[in-house]
Amino acid sequence: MNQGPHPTNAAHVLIVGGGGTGGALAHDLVLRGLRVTVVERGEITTGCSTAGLATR
Amino acid sequence: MNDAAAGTECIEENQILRRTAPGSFEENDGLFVALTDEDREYGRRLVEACTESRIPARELSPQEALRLEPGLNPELLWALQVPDATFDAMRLPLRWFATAKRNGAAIRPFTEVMDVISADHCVTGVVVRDHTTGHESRIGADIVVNATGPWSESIATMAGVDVPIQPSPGVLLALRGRLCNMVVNRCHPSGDGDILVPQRALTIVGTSSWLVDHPDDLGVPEDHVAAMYREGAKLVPAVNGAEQRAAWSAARPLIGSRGASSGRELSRTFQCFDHATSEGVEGFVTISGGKATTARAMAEKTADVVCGKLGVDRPCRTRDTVLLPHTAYYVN
Repeated sequence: MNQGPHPTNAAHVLIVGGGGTGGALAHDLVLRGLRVTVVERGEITTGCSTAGLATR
Repeated sequence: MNDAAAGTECIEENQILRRTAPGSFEENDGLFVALTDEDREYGRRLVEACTESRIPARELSPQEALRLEPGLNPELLWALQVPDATFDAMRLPLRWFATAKRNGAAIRPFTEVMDVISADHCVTGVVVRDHTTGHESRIGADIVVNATGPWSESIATMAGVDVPIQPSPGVLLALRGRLCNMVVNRCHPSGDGDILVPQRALTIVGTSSWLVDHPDDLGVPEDHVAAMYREGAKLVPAVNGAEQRAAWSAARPLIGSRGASSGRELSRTFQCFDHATSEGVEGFVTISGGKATTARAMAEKTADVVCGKLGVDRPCRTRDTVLLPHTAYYVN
């Protein structure tokens, strides 16, 4: 499955947001040969995807 | 329910997810339960909509429904069994990240965008702060994609563009105990506390819906929690005495007018905004709206737009590429 390192001249796409959509998009774009960086202000998939638990 | 194309698309997407993320789904099926004459009437239209969308649905007598799901309200009038499945809201996205990382993507958690860099109506990168070190740096990019869901507007504002996102939170309640094994829905138009989802040893009851300007610090309104208990117990009476494990709010990134009243009237559809087309700002794309089950399709549509802008002619491969397990994300 590993495509190996992408050529350094491949276009670079920066994805802001590490939720389900950002993850699925990163997966799609690297499979199409693009260089991809995802930045997320917290831990990934903890924003809207699972939200903060108010446990009792 | 009135959109057969959307229903068919939903079933196709579910089949893709089952094929590419084996082991992530519990194939528990779902029930739409009618408790009143109005529910029953709604059910007749639901059956027609399923037929039109080619969704295999089976009408059940109260006795048949109670055999499948003994915890249901015994006063139910009728039920409809539909294909449905549940998945872990964190582990499925982790599988996308794990696979992307293995294939070369750089994943940078705890890295917050502080500004979007642009010149002459063209976005060229972002300024980020690494919260693990406190350092700020710039990251250049050919295209920046705003995939921040209910936070889309904040990032878009940094780029000098607008997206019509209306954050719409809802309260969810996790109860101790698996009070049902199927996804149990009230057979009526979407409303408070009308769905119960089994998840491991818990039952999740959802959800309410209101509108906010900012998706942070939503709070968990007590009256909404009470509504989850009250309405959930109408479907499965054991909800009433169940111990609360957690209650939380999550904001949906709905697309639509900011003048909407509750969020219920806004569509769960998704949209990809190329801001070069709409506002003349190059190098910046926003994807928003949608829901967890459409994330892969949203990504395909957005990747098509991104590749089109970059002149890259390669087809989408996520319909058939089997994902790594979620645990692979943590392997360096």
